[in-house]
Amino acid sequence: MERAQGGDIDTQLLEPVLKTGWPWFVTVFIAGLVFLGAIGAFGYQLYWGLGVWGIKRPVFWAFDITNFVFWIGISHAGTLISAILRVTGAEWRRPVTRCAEAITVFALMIGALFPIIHLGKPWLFYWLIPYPNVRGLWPNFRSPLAWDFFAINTYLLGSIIYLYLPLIPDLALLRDKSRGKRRRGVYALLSLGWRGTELQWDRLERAVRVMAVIIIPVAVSVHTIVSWDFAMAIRPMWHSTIFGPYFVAGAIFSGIAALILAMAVIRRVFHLEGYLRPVHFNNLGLLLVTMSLIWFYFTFAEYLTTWYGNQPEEMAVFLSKVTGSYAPLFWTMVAGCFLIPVPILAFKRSIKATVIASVAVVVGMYIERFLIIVPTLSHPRLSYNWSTYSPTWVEVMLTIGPFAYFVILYAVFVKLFPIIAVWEYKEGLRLEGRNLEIGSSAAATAD
Amino acid sequence: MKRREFIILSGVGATGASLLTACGHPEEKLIPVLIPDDEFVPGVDYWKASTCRLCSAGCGIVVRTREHRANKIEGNPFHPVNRGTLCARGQAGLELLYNPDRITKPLKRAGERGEGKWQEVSWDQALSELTTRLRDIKAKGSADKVALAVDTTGGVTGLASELFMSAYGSPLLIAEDVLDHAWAQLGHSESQPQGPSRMPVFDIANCRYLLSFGARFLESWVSPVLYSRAYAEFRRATNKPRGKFVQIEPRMSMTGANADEWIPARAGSHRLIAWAIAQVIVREKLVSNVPPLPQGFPEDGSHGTTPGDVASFLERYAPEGIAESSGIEPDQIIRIAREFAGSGASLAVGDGLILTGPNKQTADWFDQKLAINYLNTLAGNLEKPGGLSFRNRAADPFQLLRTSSAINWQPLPRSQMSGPLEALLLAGSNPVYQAPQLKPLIASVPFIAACTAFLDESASLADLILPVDSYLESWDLLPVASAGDAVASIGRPVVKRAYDTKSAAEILLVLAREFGSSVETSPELLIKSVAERISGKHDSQDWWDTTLERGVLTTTGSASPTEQERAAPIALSERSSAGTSATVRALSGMIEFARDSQHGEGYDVTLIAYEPGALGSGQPAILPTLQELPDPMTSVMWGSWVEINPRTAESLGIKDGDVLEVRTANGAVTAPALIYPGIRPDTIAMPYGQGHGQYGRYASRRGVNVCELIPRNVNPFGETLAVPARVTRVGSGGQLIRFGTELMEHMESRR
Amino acid sequence: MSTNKPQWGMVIDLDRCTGCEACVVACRVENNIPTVGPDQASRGRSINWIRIERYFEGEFPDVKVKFRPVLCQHCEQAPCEPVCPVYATYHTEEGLNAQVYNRCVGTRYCANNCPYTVRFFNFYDPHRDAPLDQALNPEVSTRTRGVMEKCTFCIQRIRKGEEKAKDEGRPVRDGDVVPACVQTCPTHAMYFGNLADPSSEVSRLSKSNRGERLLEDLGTRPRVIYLKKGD
Ligand SMILES: Nc1nc2c(c(=O)[nH]1)N[C@H]1C(S)=C(S)[C@@H](COP(=O)(O)OP(=O)(O)OC[C@H]3O[C@@H](n4cnc5c(=O)[nH]c(N)nc54)[C@H](O)[C@@H]3O)O[C@H]1N2
Ligand SMILES: Nc1nc2c(c(=O)[nH]1)N[C@H]1C(S)=C(S)[C@@H](COP(=O)(O)OP(=O)(O)OC[C@H]3O[C@@H](n4cnc5c(=O)[nH]c(N)nc54)[C@H](O)[C@@H]3O)O[C@H]1N2
Ligand code: SF4
Ligand code: SF4
Ligand code: SF4
Ligand code: SF4
Ligand code: SF4
Ligand SMILES: [Mo]
Repeated sequence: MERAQGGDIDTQLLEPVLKTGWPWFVTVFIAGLVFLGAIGAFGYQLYWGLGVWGIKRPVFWAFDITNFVFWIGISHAGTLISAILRVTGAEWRRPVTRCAEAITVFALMIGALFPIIHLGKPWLFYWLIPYPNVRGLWPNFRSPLAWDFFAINTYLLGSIIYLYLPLIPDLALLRDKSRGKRRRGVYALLSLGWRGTELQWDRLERAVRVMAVIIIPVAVSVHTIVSWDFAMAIRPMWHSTIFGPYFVAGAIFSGIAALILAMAVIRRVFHLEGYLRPVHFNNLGLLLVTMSLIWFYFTFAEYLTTWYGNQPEEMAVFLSKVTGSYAPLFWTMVAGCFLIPVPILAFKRSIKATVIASVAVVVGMYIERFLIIVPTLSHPRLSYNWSTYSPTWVEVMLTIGPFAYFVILYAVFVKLFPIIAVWEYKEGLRLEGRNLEIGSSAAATAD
Repeated sequence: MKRREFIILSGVGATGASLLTACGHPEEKLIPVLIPDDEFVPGVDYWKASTCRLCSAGCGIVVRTREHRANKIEGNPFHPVNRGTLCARGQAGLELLYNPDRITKPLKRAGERGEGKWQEVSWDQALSELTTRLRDIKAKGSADKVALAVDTTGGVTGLASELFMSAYGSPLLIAEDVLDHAWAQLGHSESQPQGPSRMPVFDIANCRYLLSFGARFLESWVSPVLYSRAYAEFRRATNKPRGKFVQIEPRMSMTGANADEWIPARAGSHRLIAWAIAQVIVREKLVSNVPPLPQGFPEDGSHGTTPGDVASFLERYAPEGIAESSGIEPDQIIRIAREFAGSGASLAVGDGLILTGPNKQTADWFDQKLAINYLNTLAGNLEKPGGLSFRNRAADPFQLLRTSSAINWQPLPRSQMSGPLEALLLAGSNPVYQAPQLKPLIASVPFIAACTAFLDESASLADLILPVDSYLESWDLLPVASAGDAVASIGRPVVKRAYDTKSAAEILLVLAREFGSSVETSPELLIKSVAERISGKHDSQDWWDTTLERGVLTTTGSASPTEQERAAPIALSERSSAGTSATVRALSGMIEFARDSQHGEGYDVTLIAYEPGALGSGQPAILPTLQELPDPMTSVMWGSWVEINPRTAESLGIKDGDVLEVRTANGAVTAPALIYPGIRPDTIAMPYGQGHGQYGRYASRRGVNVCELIPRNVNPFGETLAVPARVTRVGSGGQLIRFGTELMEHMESRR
Repeated sequence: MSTNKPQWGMVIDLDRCTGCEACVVACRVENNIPTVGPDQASRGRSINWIRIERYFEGEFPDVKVKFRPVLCQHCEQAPCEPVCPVYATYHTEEGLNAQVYNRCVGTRYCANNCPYTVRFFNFYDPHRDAPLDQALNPEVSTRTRGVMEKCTFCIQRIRKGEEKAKDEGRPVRDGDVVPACVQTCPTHAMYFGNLADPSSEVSRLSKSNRGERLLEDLGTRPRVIYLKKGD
């Protein structure tokens, strides 16, 4: 695909924002229906109680927390990848960053819902918020759930800022290019009076750079803390020091896959073939295969030590996954996370190949989350209490719904903001020596 | 101390079975009958003593009431049977009192029989309809075609039944519990003036070697609480070595699960094994004294009195010879014989119908009891601590009121039942459930009246329903088993009647009066006068109040045992005279036949059925808490199952939870398979208690009624006999609701 | 122990326990534990604060069975406590693992981190067909949906016993507090009392050489001591 250059960039990149065709409405409508279904399911759950789920004693967590971990994991697509790429100055990143950052924010918004949805009394979620209340009680800061609260909120806030900062010049561009008073006003407001002065550019770049550096440890800490929800608990195959890095690696892994999928869709739908080019898929594919190897290494290490240690309680969980009732899921996971993507990506990183690999990875990683939670819970130490689990339609709806929600959020986002950072893209071209107007006014670049 | 100074119950239970006089703890009072309104304090707990009637053991209870509502039942610390403790069933009793499915008013059938349409009527109307009907029948000269079926032969209901039937002039008094089972049998003999009046007491607490032939004394049997207490002593009394307990039974019961050794003998082979053990003891001269055989042995009529006679009789039971039919290795029998003879205080006990009086219906089993009991004689434990003693039942509390004409309690169907009946009266009995095969017969009786608390399978066929009290609302006086000078346990109302009900005893007493009896019609006054007569106290309100506070009636008025309660030992030969007749042998022969014919008829396994501790023979199935109580061995709730050995299951391609059809000569049922390691591969087992067609919302249509397969009273042995059965897998996905996990996955548990 | 409050503990003699489950029912009725019905029971929602775990060992005919009553072990180092984000489960000065129903928001984290699986969640609002509700114990609050519950060592009985001792101006002693399960046990397999009082029965028994604690190696320091079978 030819790389997009020159004056049609603005038009092409702003087109999704400025023009809306019927497919967009159809997509949003269908996703909206599914999403409404999920809201209905949640309402049903609120009305009757958590009994409408398939959870039971002792499998007290299942799809709720699987979804939570999965979406928080997906959120790492974004910020982390874009930040790492930014910090390391990977030039090919330019058309990818915004796409990734948006994923982060939306995935986080979804992920953060699950700790609330999963409560027995969701309407009391604010009891987890540290504020001086009538009960004279602070949350228990020793609880990893309280840590989650901080970590997720910090990350969400950070990600929003990190998404927002690089949006500013593009918002200004939109302010200038869009028709309609109200629209212009909103963009004007959001662009914070961006004029593209040298000072502004300087500040923006500094802020973005600082945020990029900050967001990396935040992202790492978030998924580490999520992993600690499990690792802090003395449950067989949970209580493991490897969980922090293992989860972070898994998060980045699934995040990249999600990013590839999002990019492929956007590219197709909005005809951005000139921007999201095979090289991006190739590079992300390389990252994906790297993460797959890392994931495999962690998984292997984790299972090997468990198996070698041969402690009965651990082995109960281990065997249930590897040969027992969860084996079909387990081996699907291994296939999805390793056996399928690695050979594909090792030889071919075309768009199609990376997309196939990414689908496998997303599915595999979803299963991985499930397999971390449910088999352990269904095999408590006192084996009289062993059990099995299967979901109800409510949980299924609450699992599918967020995907629809994600689509909606993304679709709306694409309608409001350019999904490819226009100025960054141009800056990239500029750095390659092509004189282009960046942002709303003539760019005064550093050189 | 003035009686009005209430007695408080301090630390009811395990450690503090002491009563202290009141001093400042008004919130816990143990009080007599109903509190006068002027003394009633809201928010205060009043504890009232009564008697549990959820099984025939008759444990003493105290009921915590507050604001006229009962909210907890506990064991009565004074009570000689249970000393403050209770079994699972006894704990759940309030759900009977407050059961949502109780019948609240007298009902008259409005539609077709069994259609379920009822019309509420007043008590006056109901009773007058009943008496009119009975009068008409009597006038026709058909009084002897009226049958009364009651659930218990004991207590005031049993007495009232006798009084009514003799006044009315019918001999057809039917009790389901007269057959076989020890406790029921004893209650029976109690109420039968000419029956034996001594009962065996097994001193499990003090024996050191306990050999049990299927006696499930920890979960059912005679008195589960009493014998659980004894068992605890047996296990861990201070200054006494831990006893050894061997259980012989085809299917591991909860009791068997507590044994040090569980020996899965073939169903029906207990008799052989008992004789075989005796044979080893005699041939190895493990005891110095060889007592004569029970009367009737050997079967040729010669009475075996000399050691030589005994030895030659026992010859045929040598362990080597019975290995095949019992499924037990000779070595094992020889070892047990040696242990049994050598452990100082050994005791042998047998299942349900042990050591009961001569009774033709139970003759075959009687043979088994004789064999088991011969072991006790060999061990020389009669009337010794840790042995078997016979205790004169303290005078039957109702002796003086008994009618002189002999009432013949009978088991249910029998010839009379099949003859044309004019009327059938039911009092707590549910024959349609116990013997579903009899349903057409029962349904054809022209008039049926049921005194019942619930619309069960039988009551739903009735023309007239007289709603009865729960045991927490009614009076009773029950003989106390195996303990001290206590004569009887007093059951009395602990709360006011919740509905427009009467006690079954009262109804029967009123009917008796109607037909000429002169006995008091109020159970309360009747019981009081009996109690006064027994204790020799008259018109002493304080004494009566104290007695009610304690819930136990003693001969002396004190709580300590008297020595003269202990009777002289009776020789077994005395008791067996009538039992071991030709019938015995004929029936024994039939047992053998039944076993031999198994294969011929295409029946490949033996089915045994048992009464599970909580749901028993089905009556407690109405209590939701017991329905949801995990079975101790299988952890199943709310249903039935078929226990099957893992190997058998594998060979038949049966997996845990598969639906099985179990077929016997009597019928077939389907229930989920439960892989059970503790059962012989040639045997399957099913619990009684479920499968009610109609019996309130908690019991109805849940599981299967095993009586379809082994009908009570219909088979010639009149016992929960093992029967040949065929088991086929008919599908998968049967509903097994379990609290714990399935059994097989964790047969090797670390902890 | 740095407090002079009683330190409640329980001893369970496995050699006496027959598995009869009287304790299970006693606990249910004393503590207003709801019956959930067959449908919910089949989905693993039935509640028994105390249960009898039954383990089969060996193969026919050498089958052995072990029964073990398991209730909340009131761990001194209770893993369920730190994970609760709202302090709905916490340790009292008397060594009880307390559960405050009103404070619980139903994360179920505590249950996941309890190695003994003794915590039970109210998946629905409990329902009792009238007039079964008449039998409710007025001294124990009923629970609503969305909250965790578990054995409290019969806190209502502890309070009563303590008050009584206080009224009589003496420290609590054996027999003052008898939880429902202990009270009913036909074999007297269970003992309850003050572990801080060296003369109490539980103190004495806890030093038995048959004594063991469940999953002792986890360092939870349970307040329930089991006495093994055997001599
Ligand atoms: N908790 C509780 N207590 C009860 C009752 C109750 O339901 N629950 N019911 C009360 C009443 S009414 C009674 S009658 C008693 C009954 O109490 P039990 O006498 O214990 O009667 P069953 O339950 O019939 O158990 C008899 C034993 O015989 C075995 N068995 C079955 N068939 C055969 C056979 O053909 N041959 C041999 N050798 N053994 C066989 C069974 O496996 C079982 O171990 O319990 C009384 N106590
Ligand atoms: N096949 C087979 N059948 C058996 C047995 C067996 O081992 N095998 N066991 C037999 C034995 S040993 C016995 S004792 C019998 C027991 O047989 P029954 O004594 O007939 O017991 P159930 O049918 O369980 O209960 C009878 C009725 O009691 C009523 N009821 C419940 N609570 C109360 C109350 O408080 N007051 C009154 N008045 N009525 C109440 C109920 O309506 C119920 O229908 O079963 C016998 N049936
Ligand atoms: S053994 Fe149980 S059911 Fe029978 S009387 Fe005693 S407490 Fe009641
Ligand atoms: S009541 Fe006692 S003997 Fe029965 S199961 Fe409970 S602890 Fe064991
Ligand atoms: S047993 Fe479980 S619930 Fe009880 S204190 Fe210990 S960890 Fe907490
Ligand atoms: S379920 Fe309740 S008690 Fe348990 S951790 Fe959550 S909020 Fe705390
Ligand atoms: S101590 Fe009380 S709450 Fe705990 S199991 Fe026993 S009866 Fe239930
Ligand atoms: Mo019976």
